[in-house]
Amino acid sequence: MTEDARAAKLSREAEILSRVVAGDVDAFEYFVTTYQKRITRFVYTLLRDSTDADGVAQDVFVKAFRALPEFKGQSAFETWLTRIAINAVRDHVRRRKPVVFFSELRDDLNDDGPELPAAFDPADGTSPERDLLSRDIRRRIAEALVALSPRQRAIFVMKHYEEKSIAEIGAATGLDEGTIKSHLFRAARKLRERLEDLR
Amino acid sequence: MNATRHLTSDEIVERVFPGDDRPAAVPEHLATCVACQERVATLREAWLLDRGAVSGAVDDLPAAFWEAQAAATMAVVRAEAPEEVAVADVRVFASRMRGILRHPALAVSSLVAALLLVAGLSRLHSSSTALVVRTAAVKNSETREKTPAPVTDASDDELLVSVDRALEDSSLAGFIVEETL
Repeated sequence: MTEDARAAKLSREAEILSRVVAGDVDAFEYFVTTYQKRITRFVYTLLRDSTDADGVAQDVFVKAFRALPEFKGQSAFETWLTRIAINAVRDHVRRRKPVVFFSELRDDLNDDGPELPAAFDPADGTSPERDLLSRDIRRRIAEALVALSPRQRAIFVMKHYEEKSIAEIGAATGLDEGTIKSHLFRAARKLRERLEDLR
Repeated sequence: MNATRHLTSDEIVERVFPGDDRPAAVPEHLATCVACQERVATLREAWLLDRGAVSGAVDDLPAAFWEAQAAATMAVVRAEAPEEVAVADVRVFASRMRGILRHPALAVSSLVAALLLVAGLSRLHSSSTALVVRTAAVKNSETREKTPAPVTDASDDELLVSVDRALEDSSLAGFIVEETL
């Protein structure tokens, strides 16, 4: 997106936001329809559960609506929404898995995680051995991700699944560059521990 | 870095998941070692598979899912909105205006029907008003029967005039006397 297009989008969203704050609740639908796919994908990548992701994604928008009077426009609405999503996922994980978190998730991941869309099926054009290895590594990556703390996981997903810059992650999490890099380093180290025997 | 040794797991993970925005320099060894290239490629492929899987699982959802999700979200949002009534009124008015613009003939005929209805109701109202007046007149006449008739009443005047004429008529007067006798 060019700078001009980005500025136009921010201006338009600021205008819609002022309408919502003034009482035009229906105008909020713009934000729901514009960002629901992106937020659902983000939440799903973190939770790896479609039912939970749907519920949490809806919750993100409701929380955003409630908190709208507190939104000062210092960041883009999308960035602010991402921050709410991170907190919503964290709250959801805390509520859902109060004690035995990781052991339950390990069982969930024994089926290689989410189904692969046809376009990403590794059986197409590669050897069976390589397919198996890829699936095994993929499962371990997913295991490593769910073993991370919700914040660390969110930072890792934003960096490597959504290709956000360190600055963008900082805006969404409120963390400084050094802290983000530290989280990324720790996350990579945990990932490496999962993949140790592939040496 | 030793150009002759294989990459460690940390280095391989760092190749695929760099902790910085800037791309890391390619180790000299990696440029020549097929085994290390294979390990980096396998990890990157697995990661891309996972990323594609989670992204595709969401992107492949049908439009109906997104519509339902948006509707459910907005239902909760509307339920929480304090000024919902005022906004709803505006919304209804706006939708009616749009309806009028889309179907002008229907709107005009509706207006005519409404005017006719108003006219009919007005007529009915005036009739009922007359009935009320008439009822009041009846009540007044009943009241008048109990009280002496006013001399200014036109019908009473006529009655008095006709009685006077009858009395002035002598034959009739003699008849009356004879009958009395």
